[in-house]
Amino acid sequence: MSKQSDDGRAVTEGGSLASDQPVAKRPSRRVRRRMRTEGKRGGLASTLAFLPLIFLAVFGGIPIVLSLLLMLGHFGGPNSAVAQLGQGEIPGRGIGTLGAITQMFESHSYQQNVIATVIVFVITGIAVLIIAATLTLWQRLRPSRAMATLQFLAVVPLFIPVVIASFTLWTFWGDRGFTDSSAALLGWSHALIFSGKLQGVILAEVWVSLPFAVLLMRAGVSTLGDSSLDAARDAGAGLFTVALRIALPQLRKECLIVFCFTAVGVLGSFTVPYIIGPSNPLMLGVDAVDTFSNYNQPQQAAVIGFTIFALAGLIGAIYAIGSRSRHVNH
Amino acid sequence: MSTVNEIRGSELVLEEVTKIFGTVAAVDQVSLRVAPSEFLTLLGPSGSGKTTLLRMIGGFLSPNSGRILIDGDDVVDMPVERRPTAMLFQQLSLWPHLTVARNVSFGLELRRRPKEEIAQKVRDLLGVVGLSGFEDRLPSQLSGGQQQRVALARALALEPRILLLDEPFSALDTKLRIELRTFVRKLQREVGTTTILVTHDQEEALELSDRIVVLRDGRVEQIGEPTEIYDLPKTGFVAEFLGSMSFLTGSLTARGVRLENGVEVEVQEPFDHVAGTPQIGVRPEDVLVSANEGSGAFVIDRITRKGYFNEIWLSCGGATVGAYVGREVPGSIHSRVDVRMRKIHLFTESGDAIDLDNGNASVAVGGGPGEQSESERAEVQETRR
Repeated sequence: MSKQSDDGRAVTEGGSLASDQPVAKRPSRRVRRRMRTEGKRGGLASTLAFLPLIFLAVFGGIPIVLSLLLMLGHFGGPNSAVAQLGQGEIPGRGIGTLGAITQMFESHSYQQNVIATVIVFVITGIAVLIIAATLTLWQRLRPSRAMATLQFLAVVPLFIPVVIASFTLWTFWGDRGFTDSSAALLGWSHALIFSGKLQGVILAEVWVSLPFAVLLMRAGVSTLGDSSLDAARDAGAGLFTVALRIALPQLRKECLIVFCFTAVGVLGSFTVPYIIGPSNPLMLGVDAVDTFSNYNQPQQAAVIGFTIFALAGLIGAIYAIGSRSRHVNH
Repeated sequence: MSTVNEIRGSELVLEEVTKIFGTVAAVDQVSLRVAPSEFLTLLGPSGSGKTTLLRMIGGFLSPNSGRILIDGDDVVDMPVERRPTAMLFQQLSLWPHLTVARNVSFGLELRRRPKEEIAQKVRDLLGVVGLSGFEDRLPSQLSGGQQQRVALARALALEPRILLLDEPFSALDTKLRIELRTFVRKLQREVGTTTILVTHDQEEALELSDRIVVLRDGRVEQIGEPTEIYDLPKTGFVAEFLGSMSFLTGSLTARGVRLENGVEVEVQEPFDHVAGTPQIGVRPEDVLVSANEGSGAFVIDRITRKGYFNEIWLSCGGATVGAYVGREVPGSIHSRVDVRMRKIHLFTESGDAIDLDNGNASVAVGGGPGEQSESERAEVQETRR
């Protein structure tokens, strides 16, 4: 009968090692039960992790693929119903056609729409970033009741539905609205009308996007160490130097998030540009709905959808690259 | 080209400086004078006002009243960035997005010094703090001690006439703390800048300071040299805060102290005699413990090992006394031991030291082991002075 040595190898009656290979011990029943339970838990965890992916594939991935096929002129299968009702379609063969894309991008009005959309989301993103950073940093570096009140007011739009806010703003700075009437009293007739203009869209988008930006920047600013800011002042830096050279570089990630999220939000917005914006040029979100519903051109609407998708991807790439790169001042 | 060796220390005078937060006076009419090149420590517990006072000197806070004079100039209205002071902060305060060199040169760049001078000075200062070759590293690539050294170099780059240290060693581990504070003291002696340190660490205060200011509730409790404050604390608070002290209630006898339960403890050194029942303070190193074959009046309650010595807590009736003994403890827990005292400190009920010279206590009979003659008493009082 063989026994086991201290290192687990079998030992013969005479005490010599029976083999150089360690003897595999069968785990105890308790250990086996625990292993089975852990295995079941692992399976459940994997299933739970896959659920969002499945959800995303069904409700996001498949519509994107179908839309891509529609854009390339494949009107069969699940796209057949939409294709039968649609107008001005350009059918594709083989891997498809770029006809619809070419048609849209050759159109002057569509070019204007794309440019207008880019201008609006870039300016809005920058404006929101500047305002949010100014409000939060100023309050941090020179706390005052006035600035605290402004910060509070900046968050209020979060609690007002966008559709109501849009109509209110449209009235506020529309023809014979508050700003127009006030300007008229000073002799500047029609000087401060923003409704029906891209400027109005930018102002309203800033108004709508500001609360989130302020909350995010405030959270970022609160992580700045007092001693970090005090040390800068101690070294001889004034308010603006501390803000620009010490605080903002440390808030780079927050700034990036504020700009990118605002830009993506504006890019996909519909209510504000639909109510306040001009009829020409149109923001792409409004243009997509118009093209799909009013002009009954689903293939062209898919092109607009993919343009928005590409622009959002570009913003996403800026965010990904910016947040990964280490910012070092030598 | 200037180097760190050319920094000169300034005289700092505080005149009845007061700072009130809401209804609480964080600093209450503090007046003191710091000599050029002196190393002064503000010592006190949390909430004693030491950091508030330091931040007022640095310009980060404005006093509600009083004057702060640097070399005779009132700087109360002078903004932080224009004061001839520099502060080393408690938290590691390097700017994480700037390299070590840029952290040090930041203040010099703001002062628009020539690039060559800045580069030379950065090299010099990093050499002084022992971090040559670390110029291009980021703060995150340095240890805590190295970061504080860079912060020190950054502070010295400003050529401050007064260097303010706000508990700069507290974020470091014990070994680094001891290393860095020794380094700071050596550097301060070489550079000669007036230095004010805020700390609640008595060991740090005793080791580094030319003088110590003990603060309590925003007021100065005592100012003096470390040994003076340790040996002659003006209040029970100072005695407890700087070092350790046990307080007993009892009366004084010719040979020593009679505790409330009637046990008499011998005191070796002569002491002043006062009537009534003063607070009797004794430092643990002045408590002498002997085994006495397990029949003493005191019982060992607790033994705390401190490495090369032991701290033991003894009780007798309601009285509790701490004592330091060597590696060999004269007994174990619950053993009975004999206690004698080398020296005692006397305080009034309100905690003020009984100072016979100022007449705040009535003199009773002689003191020490045996009667004390007039000439002996005069000699003791002269020694105390």
